[in-house]
Amino acid sequence: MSRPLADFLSERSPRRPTNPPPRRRLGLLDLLLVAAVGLVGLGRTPAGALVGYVADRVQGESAEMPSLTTFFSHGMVAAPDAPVQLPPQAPSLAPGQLQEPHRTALASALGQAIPERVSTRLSAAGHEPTVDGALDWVDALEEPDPERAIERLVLGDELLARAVGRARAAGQDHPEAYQVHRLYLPGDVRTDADRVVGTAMALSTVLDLGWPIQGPHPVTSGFGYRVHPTLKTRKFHNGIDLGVPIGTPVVSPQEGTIAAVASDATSGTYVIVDHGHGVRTTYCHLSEALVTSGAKVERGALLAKSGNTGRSTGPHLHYIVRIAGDAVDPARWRTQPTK
Amino acid sequence: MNLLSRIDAFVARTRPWWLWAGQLALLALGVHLAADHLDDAVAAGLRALPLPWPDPETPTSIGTWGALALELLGVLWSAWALARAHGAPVGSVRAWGRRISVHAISAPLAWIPLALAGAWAIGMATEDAVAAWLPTLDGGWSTIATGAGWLAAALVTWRIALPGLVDLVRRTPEPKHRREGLVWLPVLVVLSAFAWRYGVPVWGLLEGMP
Repeated sequence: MSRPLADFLSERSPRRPTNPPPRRRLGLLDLLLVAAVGLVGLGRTPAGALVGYVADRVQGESAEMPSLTTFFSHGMVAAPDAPVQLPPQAPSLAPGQLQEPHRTALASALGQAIPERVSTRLSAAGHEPTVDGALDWVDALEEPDPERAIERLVLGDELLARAVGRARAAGQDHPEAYQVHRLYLPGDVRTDADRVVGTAMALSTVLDLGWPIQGPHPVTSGFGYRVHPTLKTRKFHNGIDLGVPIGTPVVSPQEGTIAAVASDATSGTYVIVDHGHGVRTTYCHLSEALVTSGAKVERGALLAKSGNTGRSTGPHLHYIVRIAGDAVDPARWRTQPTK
Repeated sequence: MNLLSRIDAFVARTRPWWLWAGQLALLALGVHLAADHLDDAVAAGLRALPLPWPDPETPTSIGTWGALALELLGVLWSAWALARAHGAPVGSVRAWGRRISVHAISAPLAWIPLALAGAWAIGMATEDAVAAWLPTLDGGWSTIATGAGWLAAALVTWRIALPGLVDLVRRTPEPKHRREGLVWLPVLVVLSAFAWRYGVPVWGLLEGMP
């Protein structure tokens, strides 16, 4: 045991001055480490972003206030401006190829911009750095898991294995899932991966959604701005209202996990289903919820019975679809029957 | 070599002027690693409350902003704790006992997981940076990147985190009252718990043990 520590624990008087002499070695190493830690801290934390912003302002530069919430996982996917359409006739794809709806979703995600790391990988493999080239590259993998195939395109095998290994070392459940191990990717890579993997998987999840009500029913109020029926003010309607009688079965449009079952004065009794990849559906004004929070549900599973609870003028189901927290028009994304 | 030693000694003497910056950045990284996992937990906790949310997804937004607020509070606490740890050092457990307070106990206990999480963040950044410079990642080259990452994490723990912990224990001055630091305790408990759970890469290894 070192002498200072022994002195400290044995409650004896210290054998050296109360103020120890400063450490006179390894100053350069410490300075190098502090510089490295400082740079990483500035680039990868909200506090660092704030410090950078203040420093820019002090220097008289016209810097924009950074968006601090983008450092958190909910900023991972941006809902597209316009709905993506599946091809009217499904192309004949071989079993090893990337299937629909993932094929259309990946093409859409890459259509916005192909990240440089993807272009480099495609060029190195002799493929054109285009959407078609990327689809050919993914098809050649013959990877059965679409998420893994898209990740391999963006990250490469080694970086993917590293991120999964880190998530596993931290004791995370399901370290192979992109939503789990993305938190252990380098910041710039995570941005590219979210843009392609996150967006493609979110789009394919939405494209694969069914419909929560079986049988014919009218849409009594659409998505978007409208004059609120009870408040009489112009408000944004974040879902659509399906006119159905009280007690109509509400089914899950896709498999998922029940994220919330609750009740309040506005939404009445409501259920939120998390379908993964940042996609959630919400069902409001229910008369009865038939599931519990945390439960896993299959596609077509009975979730609840519709009702007229909360701020509601008549029996209906208020149905919301969200991509990464942003509400999108469920009717414009309606492509699949539930069963 | 003599010149280099002199420069090294000169830089070492200036350590009190800049070491705190590295310690603060290290804790900021650890705090962020903890907060990055906190937003979902906050949202789930809020949803369990019987409150009339204007929108069912409001708890998610509050969770993100809540985690951000807690993170910034954690960084503020780190700066406060570092700024205070400049008193005359205590030389014995008995002398330390005279300085005991909520802060004197909670600060080192929070420092350990947050600094370890920060060191792991540095290790991951180093591994990624080294891997990007290697000619290929096949045939064992990736082991070099992984080794560099662990080396960086160990160096940062030894040269930056450990002196900070020692100063926090030995140089935090006598408190005005024993409750000093109580107001920070909820923030530290939450962030430390998440840093232990998600920021220290040992749980996966422990899962494989009998």
